[in-house]
Amino acid sequence: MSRIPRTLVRALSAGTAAGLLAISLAACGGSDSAGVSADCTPAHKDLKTVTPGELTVASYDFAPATVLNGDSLSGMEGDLINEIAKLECLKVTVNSSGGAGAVISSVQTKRVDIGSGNWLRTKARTKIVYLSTPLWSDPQAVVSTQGLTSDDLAGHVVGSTSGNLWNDSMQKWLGDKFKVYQDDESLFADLKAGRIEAALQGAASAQYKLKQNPIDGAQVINVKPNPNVPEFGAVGQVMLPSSLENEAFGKALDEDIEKLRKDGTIKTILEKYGIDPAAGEPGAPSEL
Amino acid sequence: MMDVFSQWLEWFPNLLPGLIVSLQLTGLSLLFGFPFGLLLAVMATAKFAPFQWISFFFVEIGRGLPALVLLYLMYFSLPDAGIILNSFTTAVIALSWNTGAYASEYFRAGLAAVPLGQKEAALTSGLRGWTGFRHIILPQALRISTPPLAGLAVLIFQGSALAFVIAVPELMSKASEIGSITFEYLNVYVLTAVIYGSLTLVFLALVRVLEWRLGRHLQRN
Repeated sequence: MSRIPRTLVRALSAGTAAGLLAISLAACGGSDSAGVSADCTPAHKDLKTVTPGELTVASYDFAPATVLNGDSLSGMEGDLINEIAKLECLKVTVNSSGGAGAVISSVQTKRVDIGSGNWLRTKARTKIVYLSTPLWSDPQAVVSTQGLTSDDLAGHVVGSTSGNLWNDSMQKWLGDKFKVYQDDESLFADLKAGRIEAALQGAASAQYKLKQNPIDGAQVINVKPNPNVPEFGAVGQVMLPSSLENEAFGKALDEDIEKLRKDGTIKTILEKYGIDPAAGEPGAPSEL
Repeated sequence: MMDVFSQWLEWFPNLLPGLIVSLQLTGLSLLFGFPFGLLLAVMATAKFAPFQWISFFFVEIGRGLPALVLLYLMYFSLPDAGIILNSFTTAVIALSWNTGAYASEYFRAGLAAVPLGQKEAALTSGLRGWTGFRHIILPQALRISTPPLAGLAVLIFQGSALAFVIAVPELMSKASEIGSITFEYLNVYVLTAVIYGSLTLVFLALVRVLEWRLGRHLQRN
């Protein structure tokens, strides 16, 4: 075999690898460019953050909760975090390396101040991170092209994303017919391809995803209490996790969130993303 | 410390099905990948040029692309071409290809390392063509290739964790699931590392025994 084609293929392979690396690096990290004026007065003086003057956020793309646009963070939580940063005169810096799986570890190891990406308040999580006061409630839904409800799932191939609280119960109920994905994109790609017949997902996220990438005949139907899946009986409360070792920061975050709830900012944000503003009154903090 | 061990005991039953899937995935990838690698090695040394080209294509793609990229490409691109494979099958095909591509190089080196005298001895003994290859050349080449192939088997076992990106419920996927529910990422990943590490060490010890048995004749003077 001649040497030229072999060299060419190797060069192409190396080029592909270099291209992928460049794309990965481009996707990792970044900062919100919103400037902070010199005369800004923070709502909480002497607030300690990982990097002074910055609010570092571990996040990943999970629309409509978190949307990464280059260096900036938007989406429901993203907008709220930007508002919190304004209150505290901080510049938002986003760390997206590692995706969803790295968010909590980044908070725990104090690489970032808060995590973002539709994390729910649960009893188990109280031991690991400081759970902020609830941002809003998060009803769950079944997405399918057959109009399946949560009672119809037996016998069907169903998917969900890692981290959803009902995964264990669903696995016991459906066995091998239940599949867990690492991200929403893979879940919806498989629903579209027909590898799964239904996807379990947050209602808001599901509606947003289908709006962005429609699937013929797909419907979003909120779950109902089901004896096989006790988790369907409770609506989760979304929170922003922060380090247990910086309780002052967590308390300040709680006060900022309540302030933004009282002045109507949270409802405005929810409306902006097509969510019922009533979700912005989730009630007293509770854990699943 | 006791808390950590009690958590490990609590989690292990949930990780066990994932471990079984990982072992199945590794076993099937090696089962298909090693013979595929041997075939590619033989084709690469064949005098018939199209065989060389086919071998070159599979080896360079299989080694040039990371296993993760192969998994993504096969899982998410094939449905556009009307081919819908389930996640486990896709993972077996992608990892087998990856295994075959690397194994072919080890086999090729093993075949090249068999002394020319052995080939001549096969011919003078009347063992020509495939018979001579199977009885004289191949056993020696396999013995030479065993250590790197064992290392490759370990890499494939560890690489099977990549299949979690296409929803294969293997060990890493189960660990990630536990971590995302409890937020005890560090503890569950340490347990997962212990499982991967223990199995790898046991496997490598078995390979050393095998190598010793295969090489006993070389130690006799």
